[in-house]
Amino acid sequence: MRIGFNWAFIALFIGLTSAVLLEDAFSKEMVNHIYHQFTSYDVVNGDSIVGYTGYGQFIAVKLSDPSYLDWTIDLKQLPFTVDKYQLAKNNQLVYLYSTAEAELFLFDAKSGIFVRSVELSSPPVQIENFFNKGILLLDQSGSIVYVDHTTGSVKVVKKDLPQVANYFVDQRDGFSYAIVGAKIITITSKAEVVATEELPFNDVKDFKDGIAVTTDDQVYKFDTTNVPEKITISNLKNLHVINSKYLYSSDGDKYFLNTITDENTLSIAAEFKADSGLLNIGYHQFALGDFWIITEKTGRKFIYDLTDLLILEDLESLKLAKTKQDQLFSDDFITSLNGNLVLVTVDPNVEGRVYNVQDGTLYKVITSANQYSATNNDYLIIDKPESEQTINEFHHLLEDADSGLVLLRWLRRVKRHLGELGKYIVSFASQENDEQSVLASEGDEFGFGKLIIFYDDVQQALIAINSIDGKLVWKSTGSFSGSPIKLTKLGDDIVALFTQHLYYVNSRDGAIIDVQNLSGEPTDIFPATLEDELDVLILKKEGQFTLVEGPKDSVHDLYLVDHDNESVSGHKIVAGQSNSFKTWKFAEDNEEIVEVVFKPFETRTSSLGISLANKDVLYKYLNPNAVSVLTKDSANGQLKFYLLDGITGTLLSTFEHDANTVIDFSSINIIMDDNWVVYSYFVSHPKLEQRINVIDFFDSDKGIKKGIDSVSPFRHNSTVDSFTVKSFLFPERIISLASTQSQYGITLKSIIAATETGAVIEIPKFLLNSRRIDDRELTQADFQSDFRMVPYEPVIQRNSFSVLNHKHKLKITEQGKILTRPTHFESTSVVCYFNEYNQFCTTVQPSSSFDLLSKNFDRIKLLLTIAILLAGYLISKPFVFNKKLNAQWIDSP
Amino acid sequence: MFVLRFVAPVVLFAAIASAAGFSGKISNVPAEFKELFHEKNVHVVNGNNYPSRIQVDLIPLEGQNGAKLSKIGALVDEEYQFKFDGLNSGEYELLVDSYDFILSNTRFRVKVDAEADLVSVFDDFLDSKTYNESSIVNVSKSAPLIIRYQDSKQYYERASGSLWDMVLSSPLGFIFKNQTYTIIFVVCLVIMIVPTAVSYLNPELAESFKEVEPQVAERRIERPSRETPEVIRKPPVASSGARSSDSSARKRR
Repeated sequence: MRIGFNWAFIALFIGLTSAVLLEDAFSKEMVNHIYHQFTSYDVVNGDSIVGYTGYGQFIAVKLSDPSYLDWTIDLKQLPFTVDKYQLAKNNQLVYLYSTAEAELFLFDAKSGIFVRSVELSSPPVQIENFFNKGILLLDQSGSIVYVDHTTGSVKVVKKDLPQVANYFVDQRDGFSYAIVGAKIITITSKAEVVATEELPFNDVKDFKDGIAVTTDDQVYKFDTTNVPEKITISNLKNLHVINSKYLYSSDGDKYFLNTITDENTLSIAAEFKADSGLLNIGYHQFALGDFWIITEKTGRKFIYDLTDLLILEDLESLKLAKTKQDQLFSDDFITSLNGNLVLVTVDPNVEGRVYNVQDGTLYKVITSANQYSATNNDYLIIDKPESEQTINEFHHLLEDADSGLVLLRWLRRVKRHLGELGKYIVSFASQENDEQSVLASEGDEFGFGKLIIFYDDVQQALIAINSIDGKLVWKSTGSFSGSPIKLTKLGDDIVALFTQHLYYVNSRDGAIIDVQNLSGEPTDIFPATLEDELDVLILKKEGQFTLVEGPKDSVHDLYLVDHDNESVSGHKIVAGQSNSFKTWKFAEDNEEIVEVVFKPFETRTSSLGISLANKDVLYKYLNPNAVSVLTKDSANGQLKFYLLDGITGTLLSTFEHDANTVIDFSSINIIMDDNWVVYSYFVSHPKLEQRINVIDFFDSDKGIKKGIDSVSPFRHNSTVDSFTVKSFLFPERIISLASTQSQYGITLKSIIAATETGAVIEIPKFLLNSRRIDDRELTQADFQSDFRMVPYEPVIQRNSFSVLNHKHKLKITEQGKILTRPTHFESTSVVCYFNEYNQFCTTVQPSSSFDLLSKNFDRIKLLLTIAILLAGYLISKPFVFNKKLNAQWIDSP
Repeated sequence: MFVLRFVAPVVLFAAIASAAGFSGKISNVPAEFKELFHEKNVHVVNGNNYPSRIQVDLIPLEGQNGAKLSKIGALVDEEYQFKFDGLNSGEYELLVDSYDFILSNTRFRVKVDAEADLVSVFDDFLDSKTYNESSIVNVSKSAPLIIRYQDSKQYYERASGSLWDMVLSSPLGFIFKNQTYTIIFVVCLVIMIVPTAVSYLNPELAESFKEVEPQVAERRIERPSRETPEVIRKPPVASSGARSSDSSARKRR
């Protein structure tokens, strides 16, 4: 047991080698949190927008920087769906609730911290603030209930009220008045009812400062005894209460400020007209101020400051500020931004304007943050293409080199330089900074920057995001029709498969190069490389594969594998033909195909075997056409693994799991690379645990001889001589798996696992080694027979240093995608995780940084050491010289 | 219809009556944390909202048949408390995972006896064949399951291999870990080095030092040679005052 612990410690220690140092903290990773857009929201606490998004979150975003997601509440953590909220009067707390469930959830509106849940006896209909101490809600049983902010205590204030869809609360003179149907209830500040009166009306639409307005624009004034007194009005429409003295109304493009006279008559105090057409009127209170916001159809705002008018009751004190004609945004808020009283007008995607309330001048433009995501969760990672400028330069250099005459070469060079100078002057004069092309090539000499490309349904455009900073590189021009199916890459171009079209898109700027019309129902598209290294494009449509791009006169056949729920089938496109035909089929009785995977298309392997202690080699089974299949036995739910040859359909190997193990089949993830297969699955019986199964295949009969191309599908030994299997336990539930890729395949592989708890974790493959010994102590020969061999320990500990996203907790979904791509450095790979909530990219070095100096490499220490050594040499030189001389003197006699 | 009307409320009542619940609490969580993202001025979404970064799931162990795993989630409040209500009798697995904290245990077996309103919790470690029956804790809404905070998770490694680290980990490291020792060490080092340094920087001063040294030494030698006879001549304690007066007269000279 002690030995086991020791080895576990060693394994942990080994894992530490890939940790990111404090000096590099937060510098390697790119994180974008995607919230899409609000469905209902409010501006609170000056610089914050809080509200529901359409993607199951309640969030707070900085108004001044919409990319700054302050906090987020994952609504899936709540036991039921909530869709309504009520901010406390001081905006410090927020209640989330649903009108279908009898429970409220209270959160801190500044930090998003959950405070408590409040259980009710009946679902709430509507919540209103009750002074500064709590909320007053009307529930579906017809009761008014008080909930205290501080203690969460629930008190039924009044029962047996009419069951209505909404109610109105007015607070004045230390009392709260609630109109429910045709009843008005007077409630003290201690939430006790002191009076209940019947009303002659039951259709209130506004109630404030003792004035109630009904849906048919009748106005009633309440005295201290709650006896309503009808106000005489003359043909005023769309009435709303400002305070006990003033109401506003509108009619067509006109809007009116009305006052209640001493004779209880409502008369027009001021009349206004929206010259460009009235769109809407809003009344806002902020701090001690009252504002009337008129929006014209052109987007122009008229901001009336009513504060002085309401106090002085003098129309001369009405202040007006007008904004310029501008884009129209849907929602208006008055708030304080950096000490300035401002009008914020925004759209649900947090795009808008901020105007000074004092003079209507533009204070700030709010630009929405990168909120692009793929609705179909299809993301493509590619190397950044070379810029046009680089290609032109290269082209010209080749041209120069080809020409024989020196003078001609010089003239051509001068001409090119003059042309470039002219272009520069023109671009400088027109201030056209070609930002997109700069972004596409900037800082990318070592291939660390990748483009992540996806189709955004909302934007109806292809989007390219830079993996280094998460910024938009380009947004495709042109229009796409139909629904997106899949993106792939062919040469330098991107190919986008839609339901009816195939689009060829330039990866430098997103311009559509070509469009092909498709018939039928295409389901997939992917590139393939022929033996002569020619790229072809294959379209899958109605169970058949078609060559849509590539040399028609190729002499090589193409072999393809397809699967459905019941079988795996092999297909072949004969050289010179375009369409495939079926060659083989693999199906087992009562077995359902769960997963089928191949090795990544661009994977490289440089090591053909493992050198053993006895100077022998354990050759890896590296058949590039091997296909891994996982099936579920319909009778007993048993998980089975099959390794097939993709060309012949031959069963190469098989492995069955215990039939008594109950597996969550929706949790299965499988990856295949090198000579191994790794798959993860969650087990609910006999014990609830996340398992990772590793199978390494070996070809120990030395089928791979020296000089034989290991990747030839025809010359490769198609039999697996041996395989080893080990099962490991992982402390967290794995949602998605991938393996790292490097340029030449020399660097060790790492498994990248995205877990339910929000971590993207790097697990070195040498830990997931099926050859780890579990039945005896390790010998010296064992240590020498594999890389970093350690004894078998079933649990792969979650090492927080291996969490690639570090402190940034991600929201991991089953639809999310782990993307990996090699850089120009063999040691380093780019790893990204993209889904509808997060965009995350970083770099990993599974074999540490052997060809790249880290940022914190101590150059000064190196120089200092060299300097000290040099100084030591120079200082000791005369001594040595003297010593040698003295030695000669002594020896001379 | 009659049967439905009569039986349904009874069944419903029985279900409500036989449902149990319990609460849990993560204890000893420090009130404040020193976070690297604060130092680096980096924004981390929910970075300070530690309770929201704790995932608490209760998974019923009975009735899982290979379909997607069903689970009951719970929110963790500002006091690091969570609760489950309306649990039916049976066995559950409680999984508690914090993104920021290392907890004393993260996996528990929960046995619910709804009729007796009894909820028993056992440690259920990942690599054990079964749960630890001797670790039984009976919990309820008023007697929560206590999970201890042990430490904060570190996501970045402190750099090692710097010169200072090498010095600290050397046999002399204990000196530099203590301020007093360091001062003493530096003073001693300075005393040792100064004469050598002076001989290079100011040879004249060094020469004068060298000349002074024999003189001082001579004086030291001379002084005891004069005083020794006096010491010998020193009278016993009960001596007369005349000699004392003689001695003081010499001092005055």
